[in-house]
Formats: sequence, C-alpha cells, structure tokens
Amino acid sequence: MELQVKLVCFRFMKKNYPEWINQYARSAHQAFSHMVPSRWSSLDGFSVFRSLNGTFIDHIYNLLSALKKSGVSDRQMWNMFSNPSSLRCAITFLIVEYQFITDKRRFRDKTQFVFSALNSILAAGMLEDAWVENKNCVHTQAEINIIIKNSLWHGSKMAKDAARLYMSLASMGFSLYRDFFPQESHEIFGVYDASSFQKDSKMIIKYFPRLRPLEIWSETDSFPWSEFKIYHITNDIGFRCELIGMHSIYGKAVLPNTLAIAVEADGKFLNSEEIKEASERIARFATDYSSLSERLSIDEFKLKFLDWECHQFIELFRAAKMDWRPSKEMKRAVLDANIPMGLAIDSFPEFAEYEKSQEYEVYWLKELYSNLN
Amino acid sequence: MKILKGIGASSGVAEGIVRVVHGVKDIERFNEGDVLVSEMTEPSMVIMMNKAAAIVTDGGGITSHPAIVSRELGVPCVVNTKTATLELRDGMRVRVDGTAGEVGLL
Repeated sequence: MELQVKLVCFRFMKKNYPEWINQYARSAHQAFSHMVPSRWSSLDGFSVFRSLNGTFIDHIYNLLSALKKSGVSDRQMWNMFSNPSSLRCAITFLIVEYQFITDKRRFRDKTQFVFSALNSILAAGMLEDAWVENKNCVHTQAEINIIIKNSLWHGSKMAKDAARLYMSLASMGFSLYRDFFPQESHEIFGVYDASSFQKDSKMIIKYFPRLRPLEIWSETDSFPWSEFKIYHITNDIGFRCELIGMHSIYGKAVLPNTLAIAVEADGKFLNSEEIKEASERIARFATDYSSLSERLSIDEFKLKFLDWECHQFIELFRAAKMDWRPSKEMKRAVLDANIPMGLAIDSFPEFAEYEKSQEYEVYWLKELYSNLN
Repeated sequence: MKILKGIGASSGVAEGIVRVVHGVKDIERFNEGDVLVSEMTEPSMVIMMNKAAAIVTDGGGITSHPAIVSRELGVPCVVNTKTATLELRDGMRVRVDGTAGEVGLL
C-alpha cells in the first residue's frame, strides 16, 4: 500500500497537466475557504453534480464540438457567456461532476476536450489572472478611460443610495438563480486605474446581466430591466475579488472612500432620483421573486437546477442551433438520485491537503491528465 | 457585556434593537435601525437588510451573502456566531462590533 502511494506521487510529479489546473486549485481553495462555514437553504447542488455521472459533460461536449466544427472562435464564444465568473463556475461544476463519474475512462477524452475548450474561451477574454487569484479585469485601460469620460457621474453623497441599489440587484440575482448560480446575474470587475478621473483613484464595475431570464422564469416578464451596471470610483481601498467575482473583499471601508458613482440601466444613465426609485422597485421585485423557488417540489427543484446549469450556456446552444434545455439523460440521472434540500459546509482543509486529497476535485483533475487509469 | 463572538465581516460599530428574522413574513415588524439577526440571510430579506443598522448571522464566511452586502452598505456585520438566533431575542438592545466580530448586550 505504501509503495502504491509512493508510486502514485511519483507519477504525479512526472505528469504534465496544464498550468490552468494549478491556477484553478489556488483560486478555488481561496474561494471555498472564504465561504465557509456555509449554510445554503436550497437544493444541495453538490449532490446534483455528483449524480449527473457524465451526462452534462456529454451535453457540453456535443455543444462545443458543434461550435468548433462551425468555426465559431473562442472570442465569439466568450461573448456568449453572461460574464467570466459564470464561465469559471460552469467549469468548476463540470470538474466536480467529473470527480464523481463512475466510469472515468469512458469520459476521459470528452472531458479533456471540454476543459481545454472552456479554458481557451476563458483565456480569450480575460486580460490577465484568468482564474482570479486577485483581480477580475476584462476592460482595457482605453475602455476604462472612455467609460470615465462618457458616464453620468454622481458625487459621494449618492454612495449610500448606490449601495442600496447594489443590495437590491444582488438580492434579485439571488432570488432568480438561488445559491449555486447567482453569478449568472452578478459580476464585479476590477480593480481598474481611474487616474483619468482623479489621481490615484480606482474603479470597480458592478455588473448585473440576465435580470429577466424568461426561459427560466416566465414570471420575470414584468421586470422592467435586463441589465444594470454600477460604476464605482473610490480611493485605493484594497479591493480584490475571487473566482466568483461578486465575492468582493475590501481593505478599507467602501462608503467613506467613495468618490463617484454612475448607474447605467439597459444602456441609459440614471439620475439620482431614478437610482433611488430603481433601488426600491428592485427590492420589492427581489422579495416577490424570492418565493418562486420556494414553491417548487423537490423534483421540480431538481429540474430547475438543471435548467440553471444549461442556461449558463444558452447563447452557445442558440449559436449551435441546439436545444438549450437539459438532456433526457441528465433529467433521468438527477430525478433518480436522492438529493436533499439544504447544505452546510463547516470547514475546509488547508491548501496542501485540499490539493492532494481524493476527497476534493483537484486530485481528480490532475488524474485526468495522467495515465493512472 | 459580550455574549457572542464570530467573524467580523464588515467593520464598524452599531447599536440597535434585535429582530430575529426568518423571511419575508418579518418585514412588517422590522424597523429602520434594527439589528437583523438570522441563521443566514435570504433574498427575501432585502428590504429589511436595507434598513438594518447591523447584521448578525449564525453561519457564513467573509464572502457569504450577508458579509458582501454589509461591506457595500457600510453596516457592521458579524457572521459565524453559530448561536445568534438562539441567544438573541427580539427587543434586546445590542452593540455589534463588526471589526472585532463581537456582539454585546447593552
């Protein structure tokens, strides 16, 4: 047994798995460590990923193969995702699915193809730090300077109102996509240099797309907006974020260091009264929509979860002229499985253990590129 | 008197009346400046969170939902107290220290 372990370690040392796996491992460890202890009240998504047993990987393999055959470029596919955190989370969920596939040999080639394709798409859009160990930047400095020049700026006295709007929008996304998919409609970009606004200042962009996902919830037909952007200029407050961009961390207080705010809704900049009004309206919508998933039976919730998973790729499915919805194999796998409501994670191991333990996905990700099977 | 220790997720200090909330049904009894106490925040609590002087939860890490939104709103927040909803009762007056990660009874 001891010899076997040594051999496994030795073989890993020799394996030439792609570098993105190391970046993913560091970034995912940081993200999970900062989330725990976690309490999620909706469906246990990790049990869903475990039960899929390759059916979603198969679905995405067919999708990406079709797009590659049609000559769709990585950059074009990048633009079809809601935002980079949505893509990173989609990859993460596929990694967890792969970890629990019972016949890994059968899925080896398809999974490698899927991970390679999705990482190429991610690399095509991220300017640096694709897995966001520190920053989540997709805008060039020239683009930032144009935003600074063309936005309708409000002074720091609007900081609290903009924060309330942020809160309302974040809750809206949480209502529509629940615990595992809020990143579909909530992303934070930055940190950017805003010195063309004021010397030594910084900019963060809070982005809320897909706020009216009619394919998922026809009830959102009455929601007045599809997309918000909050441009936030501050002193240097040590902002950084994580694999999931909305997981923001600040070294200093946000409100007293706010210099300017601009809010864009569906391409139109809002004045101060419109910001306050939107904040209150969206808070009421978010409250109403919070009951949407609470009404679902456990089987309905399982199917909704699969809808959310596939919805991450909806624009790609459309480009490939394929049905975006879950395959019958996915539905069967999940409906047959025992998946509880609610999930608690009380602790997370140190990096060295996380990276090497078979309990966690990184081991299996490295194994995917080895010859152990 | 310190009664709870957790993770300080949003710095600052605030005092207020405790409201233990579970969801949308608690909106009517939640007043501007109350301290929102819950097992974990939910989207149905958005209107209450926008009125809260501070937020205290049983669970959650530094990138949990209550932690993220509290930092944006500039209200003190203590997460991972484990027992806030058991030890705090509606009407108690408390001091929430989001820097130290402590909740004290006044």
